[in-house]
Amino acid sequence: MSDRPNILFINTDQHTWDVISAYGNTHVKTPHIDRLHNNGISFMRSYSSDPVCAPARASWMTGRYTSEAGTPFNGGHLHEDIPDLGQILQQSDHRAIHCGKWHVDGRNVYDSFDVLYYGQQRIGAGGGEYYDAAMTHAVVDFLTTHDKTDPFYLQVWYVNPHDICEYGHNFETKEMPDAVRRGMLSEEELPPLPDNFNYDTRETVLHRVCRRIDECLIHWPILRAMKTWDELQWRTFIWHHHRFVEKVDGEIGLILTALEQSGLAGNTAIIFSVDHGEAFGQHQMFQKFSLYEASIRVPFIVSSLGHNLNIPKGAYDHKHFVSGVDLLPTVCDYAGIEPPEQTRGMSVRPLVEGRDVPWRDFGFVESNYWGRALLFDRYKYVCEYIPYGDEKDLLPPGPDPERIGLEQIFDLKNDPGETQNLAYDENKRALLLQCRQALLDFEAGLERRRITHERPTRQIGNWGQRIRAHWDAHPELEAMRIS
Amino acid sequence: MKLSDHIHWTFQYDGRSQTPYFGKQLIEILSQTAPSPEKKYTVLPNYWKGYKGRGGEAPRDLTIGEVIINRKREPSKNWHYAIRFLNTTSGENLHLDYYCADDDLRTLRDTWRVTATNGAGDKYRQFTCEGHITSQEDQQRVTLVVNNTTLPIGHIDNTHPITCNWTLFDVIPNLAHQLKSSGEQISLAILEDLEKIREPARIGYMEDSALPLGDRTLKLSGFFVYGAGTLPSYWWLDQQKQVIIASTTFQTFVLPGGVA
Repeated sequence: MSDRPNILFINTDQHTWDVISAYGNTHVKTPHIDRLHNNGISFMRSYSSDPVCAPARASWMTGRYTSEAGTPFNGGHLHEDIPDLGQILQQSDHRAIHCGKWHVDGRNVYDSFDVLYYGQQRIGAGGGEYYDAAMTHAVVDFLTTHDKTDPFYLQVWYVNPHDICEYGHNFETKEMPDAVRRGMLSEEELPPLPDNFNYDTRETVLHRVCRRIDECLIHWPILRAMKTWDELQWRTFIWHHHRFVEKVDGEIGLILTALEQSGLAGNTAIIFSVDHGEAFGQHQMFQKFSLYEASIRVPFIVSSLGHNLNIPKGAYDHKHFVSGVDLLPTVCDYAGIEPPEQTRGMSVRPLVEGRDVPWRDFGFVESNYWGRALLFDRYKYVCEYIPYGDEKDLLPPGPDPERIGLEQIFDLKNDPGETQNLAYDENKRALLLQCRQALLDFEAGLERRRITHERPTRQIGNWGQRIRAHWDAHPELEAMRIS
Repeated sequence: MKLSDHIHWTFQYDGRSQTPYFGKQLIEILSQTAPSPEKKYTVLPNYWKGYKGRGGEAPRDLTIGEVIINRKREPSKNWHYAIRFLNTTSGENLHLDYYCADDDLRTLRDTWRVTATNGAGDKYRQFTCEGHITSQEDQQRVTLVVNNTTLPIGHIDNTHPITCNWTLFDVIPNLAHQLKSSGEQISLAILEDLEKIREPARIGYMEDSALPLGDRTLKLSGFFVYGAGTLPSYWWLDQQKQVIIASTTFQTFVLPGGVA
């Protein structure tokens, strides 16, 4: 048996951090993800690097933020010279294996990984119902036939609960039926409407134009329909999301059992995380693409079903900010190799093992090319860069204080639902300036690189024009900028 | 938009990119004149033409697979089921072979076999398992054996009969009258694809509806299956109590010749 552990990275897709029964959510049953928590350590301050599928996955695979990687949107293009995890692991003894959804735009999974299964119609955005069970078959067959002397890194990228996206699209042009009135569901079994169903009307212009206004850039037809939903329809939507979570939890259960019964559990470190969350009604939002917690905060569990590895059982880490960029260095650490120098992430293995190591003071999240968030111990800072309107310079924005548009500050300790924007509170002015400076300082250290590929270039141009036009059409917004 | 603008919300999931041919093809399949001698359903994709194939115009033939249900009553009075489910989107061809009791819920008998082959062309080629139920005190324990490795996948208390999801094509007709006349919902444990135990789910009557078929309408009775871990599914029976349409979130199963 190798002295290096196997590494199994399981992810679900569009699964908010707290839709896990082990964390106290009584509206969903996730016994198998609970099992991972009960046999590991949950990092409770874990954030997506960029809350959309392809950007988040590019960060997982490169340890870079998306303004560095070339992947600010679905349909971006990972810069060719940035190595991905599969390529990096070729320096190790570990065989790099992929199973399931990929969605790292600009990189062919077959060039980097051994692929167990990727679907006959290659997996795109959704379709967990088609693919997830087949993925489980592929993984169980692999685990039960694996030669134990051959260490592996296996990433199993499930699709569900992403199917909630398509469930939502279904009601773009028709009414969601009232399952309670029909007697199919009782009101008692529906999850409640989130406490933070209402939203801050002083959101960034980026968010308004992408997600809030009529003819918004992202999924306007669903937003239009959802504006007509009543409370029970919202709650039914959430109920469906939770069923998709339970569905994929069952898939995870089967591969965990196969890992245990194959004699591999003792020497396998399991990492469980998610690319981004699902808003399901928080701030009257749906899906991802925003910098609210439901969209960016994700589970991150390091676990082992055996006792050989130094991984605690049922532990929580409420202190350290973990990011999607940390996956690559963590895997490299367990595989016994150094990550590339330019990697922004840090291995969480020392934290798992209780070692005191220097760590970042805040979390950093990008969104929709111009959006940024910083997560501090207590406060959260959100801002946007203002597009030029004619995006000729395709260097991702920042650090540029002159281009910062509207800002938000939330006190996550007293207002975890992000309902009170403190950015305009005179007593918080010093805090706002500190946060802003922290962002500028941090971004000065990033290796932002010009976007060159046609599709993201076009998207940046089109979106930049729309957002800039909104600023121009609403002069009162300029007055809302905080000097 | 009103519900009536679509054939029915339970089986015409047509978000932004569904092809316009879905409803037409569904009715064409139902109206075929020569029903198959075996119980064979055509699978249509819900939501997105991309599950049939990418690029170009929306395909006119949306078929992404089929389900063939062969079952017969054995001299022992048990029912023998052989299910074949081909999904050309996932690439998996699933075969399930199992026995059930001759009761309304088609309670699963003690051993079964599942074989899946993958047509997608990657490293994963085939999955085979044998399943067993053993009773211990007040519980039924389910185990699978895969490549000589025994996987204890869970247990269900004895009060819940275990039913394979593919047997619902017969279970719901068996229960239809009772469900509809009493308004009750019946609880059962589903062993999904004979591999994954789902928390006890429930079957209930939903509503009656009429499907327009040219110059006539087809009267249907609708039922639902809901439960923790179970994908919501909807089942439509004709007046002969055969399932002619069933749908989950992403798939609609249509009985060719169902109205012939």
